[in-house]
Amino acid sequence: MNGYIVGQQVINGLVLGAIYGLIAVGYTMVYGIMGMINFAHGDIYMISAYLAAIFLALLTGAGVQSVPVALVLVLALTILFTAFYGWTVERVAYRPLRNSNRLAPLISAIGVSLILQNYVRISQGARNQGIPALIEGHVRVNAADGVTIGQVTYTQILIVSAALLSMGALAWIMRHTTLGRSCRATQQDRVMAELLGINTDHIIATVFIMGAAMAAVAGLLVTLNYGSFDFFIGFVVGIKAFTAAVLGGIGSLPGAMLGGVILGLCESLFSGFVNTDYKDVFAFAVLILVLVVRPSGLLGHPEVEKV
Amino acid sequence: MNAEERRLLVLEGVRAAYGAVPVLHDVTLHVDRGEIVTLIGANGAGKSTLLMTLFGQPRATAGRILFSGQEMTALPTHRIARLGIAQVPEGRRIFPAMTVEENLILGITPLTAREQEDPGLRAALLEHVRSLFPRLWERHRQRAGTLSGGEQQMLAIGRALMSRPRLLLLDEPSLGLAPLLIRQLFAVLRRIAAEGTTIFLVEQNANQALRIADRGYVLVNGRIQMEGVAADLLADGHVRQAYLGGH
Ligand SMILES: Nc1ncnc2c1ncn2[C@@H]1O[C@H](COP(=O)(O)OP(=O)(O)O)[C@@H](O)[C@H]1O
Ligand SMILES: [Mg+2]
Repeated sequence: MNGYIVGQQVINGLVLGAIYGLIAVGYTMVYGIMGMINFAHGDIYMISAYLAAIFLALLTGAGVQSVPVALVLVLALTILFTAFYGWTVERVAYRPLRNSNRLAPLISAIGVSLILQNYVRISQGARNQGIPALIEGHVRVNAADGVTIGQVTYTQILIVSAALLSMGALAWIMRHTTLGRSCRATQQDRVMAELLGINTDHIIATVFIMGAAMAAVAGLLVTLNYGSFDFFIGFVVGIKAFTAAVLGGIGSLPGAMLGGVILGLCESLFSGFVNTDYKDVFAFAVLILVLVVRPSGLLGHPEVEKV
Repeated sequence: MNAEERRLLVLEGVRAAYGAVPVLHDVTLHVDRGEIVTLIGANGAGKSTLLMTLFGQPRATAGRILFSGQEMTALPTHRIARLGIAQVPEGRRIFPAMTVEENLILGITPLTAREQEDPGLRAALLEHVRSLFPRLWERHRQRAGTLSGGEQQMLAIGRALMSRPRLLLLDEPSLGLAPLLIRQLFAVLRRIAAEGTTIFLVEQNANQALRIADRGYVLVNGRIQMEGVAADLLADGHVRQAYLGGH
């Protein structure tokens, strides 16, 4: 095998995995706290890509010249507005169904997903949207003997660092803050959390906001990296991020991050050495395999079954 | 203080149901400030339901619940803890994946934001739990799920005390504990009461409960069938036969 191609696919896989991980976090946190798959989460991510492009255009129109300033502003605005979408979805589509059977919120989620896709299709058009490349340039990665084994664009470096930073921040919040403790308590025993004075409706809303914020980071990063997107990107990426969450162990935060990286690497190597056309099929095959062989995932707890 | 001012908790004609199945029928009882009151009754009588109904889980379908003269019947569950009521629920319900210390810290949630931020107060509250349960504190960095049943019960009590409640509700705290531990548990409850916390204790272990209680109620099929001074209930032939195993 060619060392250059392997190196390059590993780099691409890590970048892809960082994106999957960021989105997978939203699936896993919502599942952990409500025992429900938020199928609209992929579309929240899709919306964030549009929002990022819109804010970028607005800021450029407003005369913001400096790329770093524009990026920070776009990131902040995208997170804020995407979080608002996440919050709204929970408030409108899930909270009224809180005490119904398990199927109802699932159907509601699929409904929300369709609504969001068509809302974007009607308001933004069905055509592919794009943004110009903002960050140019790359660095070469050399092996010890001086042979180049791959190249990393500055955008890719930005993606991986931003993903690490935001996941680190989220993990820190969950581990060390009062909010994080309340989230974990609500996840483990919702009624007991209420008895202790925790407003679990607020906690659930906050979890949707945090998940959407992470998806927003992913949406902006993907927009920067690939430059193009349409109203349907949430579907495939959503299922892959969901696969990553299941692979890592649904409900587990480190699991989502690990699952994202593993899936990204596998997919990248598969398309580099086997076949590009079937890379999505490959990802779904991984999902099925995990569900059959180890449904609790790599870092999940086998006994997790929400009531 | 007149009788009304002494009342800390009052239930008036409370009914509760799970869906269409009624469990509590016109329950009327009260707990006065500084008392230890026990509620005894057979398995399935509705004791746990009564404690949970105080927190709106399930919500009372009729009647009134008052705490310190204030009506709380319709308050959201998470607001009730802030009134100064803490519960040690049936089955303990500790958070197994968290450390002992994290479980305890969660107990301060009902305090005001300012009190929660106060490191001195937090340290004092933890110190209080530590003085009550020194053996539990030795494991404060351990995951709560790894504790023994007795230690988990101590943890559930400690967690409830972290909010400095005026009223402590306990649902069968002695269940599943060895006799020696049960004696220690009741000694701790006495001490908590002596420190000024009012206690409402649900027990199937009626003998022990009536020995530390001032008054007691007997619940049968969701109705209060008997009430009185604990010593009288302890001496009552009926109660002895039904709940004290005849000895
Ligand atoms: N969550 C629930 N849903 C439906 N029925 C319940 C529930 N919990 C308890 N019950 C029923 O309510 C009655 C009273 O139960 P409970 O309050 O647990 O009694 P106790 O604590 O005195 O043993 C029992 O018949 C029990 O089967
Ligand atoms: Mg019970």
